Amino acid sequence: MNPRHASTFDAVGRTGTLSKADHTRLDALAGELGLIKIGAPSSIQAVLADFRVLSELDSLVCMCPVERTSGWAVERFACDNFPNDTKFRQVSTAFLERAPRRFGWFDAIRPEPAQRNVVLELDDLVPRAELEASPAYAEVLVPLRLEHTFQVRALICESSSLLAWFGAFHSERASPRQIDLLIAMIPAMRRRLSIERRLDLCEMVNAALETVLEQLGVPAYVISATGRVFETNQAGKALLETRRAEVSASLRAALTQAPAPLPFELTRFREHGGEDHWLAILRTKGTDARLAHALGLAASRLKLTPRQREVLDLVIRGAATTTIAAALAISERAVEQHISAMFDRAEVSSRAALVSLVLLGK
Amino acid sequence: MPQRSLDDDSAFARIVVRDAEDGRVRFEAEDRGRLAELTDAIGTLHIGSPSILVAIAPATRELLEVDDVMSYCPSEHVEGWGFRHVHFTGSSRFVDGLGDYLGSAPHRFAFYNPTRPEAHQRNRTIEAIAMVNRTEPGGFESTPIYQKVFAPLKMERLRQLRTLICDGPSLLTWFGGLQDRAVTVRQHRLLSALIRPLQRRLSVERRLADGGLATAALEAAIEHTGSPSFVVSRTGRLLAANASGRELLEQDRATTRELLALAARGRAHASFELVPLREPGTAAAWLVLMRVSTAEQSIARCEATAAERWTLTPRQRSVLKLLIGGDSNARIAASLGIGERAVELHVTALLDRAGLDGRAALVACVLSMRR
Repeated sequence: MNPRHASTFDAVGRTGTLSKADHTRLDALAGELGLIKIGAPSSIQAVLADFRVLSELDSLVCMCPVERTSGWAVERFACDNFPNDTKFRQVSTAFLERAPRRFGWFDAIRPEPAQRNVVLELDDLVPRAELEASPAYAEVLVPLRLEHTFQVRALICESSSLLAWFGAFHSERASPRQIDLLIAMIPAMRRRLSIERRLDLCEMVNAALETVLEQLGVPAYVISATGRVFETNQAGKALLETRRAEVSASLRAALTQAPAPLPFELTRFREHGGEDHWLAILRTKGTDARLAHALGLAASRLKLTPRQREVLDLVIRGAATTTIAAALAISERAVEQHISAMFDRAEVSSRAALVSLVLLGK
Repeated sequence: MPQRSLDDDSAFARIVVRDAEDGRVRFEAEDRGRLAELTDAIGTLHIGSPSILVAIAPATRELLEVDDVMSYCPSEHVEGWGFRHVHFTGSSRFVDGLGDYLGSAPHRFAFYNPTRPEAHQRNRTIEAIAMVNRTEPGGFESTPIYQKVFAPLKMERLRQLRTLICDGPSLLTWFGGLQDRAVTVRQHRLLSALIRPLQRRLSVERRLADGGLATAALEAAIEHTGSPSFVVSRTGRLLAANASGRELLEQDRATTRELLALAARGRAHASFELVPLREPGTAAAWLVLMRVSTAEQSIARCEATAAERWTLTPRQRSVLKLLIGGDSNARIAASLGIGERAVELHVTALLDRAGLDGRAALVACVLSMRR
C-alpha cells in the first residue's frame, strides 16, 4: 500500500504539483460545497462535473453505501462522464444490493484507519490477478467495459464511519497533479457529505433516541455539563415536574460523583468534535425496587384487586400464610382464598409456581 | 395586584390572530424587493456560519420599521430555563433581565408552552400583548414577566409583534419586533412573509446543530436496553445497533439478518420485540429488541448464585433450577428421571440449607438473589 495522503502537502498546506490557478478553482469548488441552497438539490453532482474539467480525470463517482439488513443501499449517488452514466449507476447499485461487507478491498462499515481520507490507487492496493478474480470485476467492471481502467479513490470518513466512496476511473494511472487535486477535495467533500447525512437522518435518529429512552422504562435524561436537558422520556418528564429540585440536585451531584438522593447512573458520551454529554438513568437498584417492578407488572397483567396485590407483595417476599394474615389483619382463610383466586388468574397450581411466574416476569 | 399564573389558558380566550399567511397579499414594490433580498439570504446557508437570526436582524428591523428585533429560544435545564440562543438589537439589560427571570421561571413563563407551543400559536404572526388585556386580572400587567422584567426596565409600554417559528411541535425560535406604538397591518404581513423561509432555514440549522449529538446519544442509550437491539427502517436500512446486537450479527450473520429483514417489514417474530418509532416523517422505522428469553437468563443466574452460596450438589442444582422455573415435584421427577420421593428429599435438603420452611419461600428467596 502506498497512500499518497496529506503528508505530501507542504508547509502552507499546498502541494507542489498544483498551480495558483488550480488553487483558485479548488477554492471555488470548496465554496460551492460549503453552500447549501435550502430546498435545492445537492450541489455534489455539479461540483463533480466542474472537478472533472479541472482534473481531466475520465469519469468521476461519489456514492454513499449504507448498511441494510442484507447488502448495501446506495445514497447520494453522483457520477460524471461514464460512457453511460445511467447504466453505471444501475449496475453498481445492483451489485452493492447483494454485496458483502468487504465489497471493494476495505471494510465498508468501519474502513481501516490507513484507508480513511487518503487517496489510494487500486493497483497499489490489490494485484491485478486478484482484482480479476473478484465479483466486482465480473459483475461491474466487465459489463461496464471498465476492466482496463485505473481506479483512484478516497474513502471519505467521519471518524471511523464511511461517508462516501469518492474517486475516478481513468484510462491511465493518475498523474501526481490529479492525485493532489483529489487530495485537496477531501476536506470540503467530507464536510458537505457529513452535513447531508446529518440532515437526512436527523428526524429518524431523534425518533429512535426517543423510542430507546422510553424503552428504558425508568427516568432518563440526556444532559450537558451545564445541565441542559437535550432529551428525556415520559418518566423523566414526570419526575422533573414533580421533584425538580431533587432531580437537579441529584444530577449535579452525580456529575461530580458526589452522593445524591436519587441514584443516577451516568454514561458519558461525546459527539464527534463536540462537548461531553451524559446519559443519566435513574437506576432503582436493590431487591425492593425489583420486587416492586415485578409486582406492578404482574398486578396489571393478571388484573389483580388491590387486596390481592397486597397479598402477592408478601407472597413474593417468601412470607407464610400466618405472617401475611397478621400483617394485613385478615384471617388465614382469607389469605388462602386470595391466593387461590390468583392461582386461577395466573393458571398455576402452587404458590411456588406463582412466585416463579411473578418474579421471572413471565 | 395579585399575580396570576400564566398556566391559565383562559388568558388566551381573546387571542388576536390576524392571519396574514394569505399568499396573495400585495406588498409595495420597495417592500417586495427588500423582502426578496431577505428571503434569499435566509435560503442560503454557508456551512459553519453562525445562525441567520443574527445576520438578518438589522435588515428585518429596517423592513418592519420596528424599534427593535428580537429572537430567542428557551432551553430546558435541570434547574429551570435558559437561553438556547438570544439576540436583541436593543439594550442588553433587557436580555440580562429576561435571562435572570428565566432561570427560576415557572414552566409556562410567557404566553405559550415553551416545550411545545400550542398549535394555534405555531408559525403565525401574533401581537403577543394584545392577546391578553393589559390591566384586568390575569392580563399582561399581572404576570410575573411584566412585573419582573418589563416594568423595572420601563419597557412596559412596548408592543410585541412576534411569531413562534416551529418545526412540527417543537419551537425553533421566538422571532419578532418590539415598538412603543400600535402594530400596523403592513408590519403584520411583512413578518408573516418571513415565517416560511425562516422555518425552513432554522429547521436545517437545528438539525445541523443537534444531529450529531442525537446520534451520539442514541449510540449511548441503545447500549442500555439490556438486549441485542437494532434500529431498522422499513426499507431495510440498518441505522443503529448496540454492541450485543453487532455481536449477534457477527456470530450468526444469515439468521440475524433474515430476522431483521422480517422486522423491517413490520413482521413480528417470537424472538424479538418490534417497537415502531414515533416519527413525524415518511419512512417508518422500528426499534428491534431481540429478547433472548430473559426468564431463562434469570433462572440460570439466580441458580448459580444460590449454588455458590449454599454449596449445592449437582443434583440439588438441577432440582433447584426446575423448582424456581415453577415446576411441580411430579414434573421435576419426570424431567430428571428420578422418583417424586427423591425430589421431595432434595427439596427438603435445599430448604434446610437455606434455612426456610416452604417451597414458595425458597423460590422467592432464590429469585431475589443478585450477584
